[in-house]
Amino acid sequence: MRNYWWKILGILLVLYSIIQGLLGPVPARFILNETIRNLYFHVPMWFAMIFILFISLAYSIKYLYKSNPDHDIFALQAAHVGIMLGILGVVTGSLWAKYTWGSWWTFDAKLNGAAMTMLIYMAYFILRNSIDEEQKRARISAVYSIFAYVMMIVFIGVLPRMVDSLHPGNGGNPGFGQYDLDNRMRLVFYPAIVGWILIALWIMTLKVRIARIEEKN
Amino acid sequence: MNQWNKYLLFFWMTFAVFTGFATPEQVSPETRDTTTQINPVQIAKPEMADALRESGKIYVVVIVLSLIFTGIIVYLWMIDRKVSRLEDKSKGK
Repeated sequence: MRNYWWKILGILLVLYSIIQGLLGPVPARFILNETIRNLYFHVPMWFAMIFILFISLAYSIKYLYKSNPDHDIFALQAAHVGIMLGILGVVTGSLWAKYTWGSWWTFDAKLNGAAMTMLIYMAYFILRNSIDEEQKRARISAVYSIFAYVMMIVFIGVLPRMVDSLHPGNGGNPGFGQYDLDNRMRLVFYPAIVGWILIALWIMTLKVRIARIEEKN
Repeated sequence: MNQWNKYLLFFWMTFAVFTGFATPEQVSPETRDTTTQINPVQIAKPEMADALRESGKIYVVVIVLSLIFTGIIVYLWMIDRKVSRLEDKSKGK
């Protein structure tokens, strides 16, 4: 197996976040109660998604520069993993919302923005499937991927902060970091982010390697 | 995964669970929760899963989740090995 120290690190960090995340002390808050521990899972999913989609963006730009088909493989597989993480983020967020806000979905800027981001990237896959010729497909989807990433940043990073929102960190709400996240939680939270990013990278590299083998045959 | 990594992983897991590292603290909310002190109307404290912790059942949850996660990781690892073998085979051609 190729370089695997970072894979082991990712595994250990996520395992640590699961064990210490459930057993460690957390601030007691009304409404949130024990669900505050979801911070260790829901939020890292999204950070990992943003990171992986950035990788997809980087390889899309590299493809436009050099037309190396390997870069196109990276861009596609990174987008795949990004969507997987995004769906997990939306589902975990929805479950969290049901038990804290009282409903599975609210018409909230951040939630709708996240759903729109998912749709935008699904459109990326549909776009790819609609073009037969390889180079054309790679070029057009690379351009789309750049717009898609920018829109993602707008929909989940910019717009929610400008309007009223229930979601922590947006629309005038304090982020978790301000009142509820104490240093004991940070000790689990930051490693969890790194761990999930590494796991997502592992899955992406696996998919890239499989795609390369398929290309060869 | 070679033998060394298997032992490292097992050692780390047992270390994490059986040392004070993962022992749940019973910290009273008053000592660090300033919001309830400022608001005199709130006498009740937020309900937390203290019963689950006292009865030790929280460890069941932890072990179940760790097992599920480890199972998925083992599956991923085996796929990784298979892909490596396929790569070497197609390189050898």
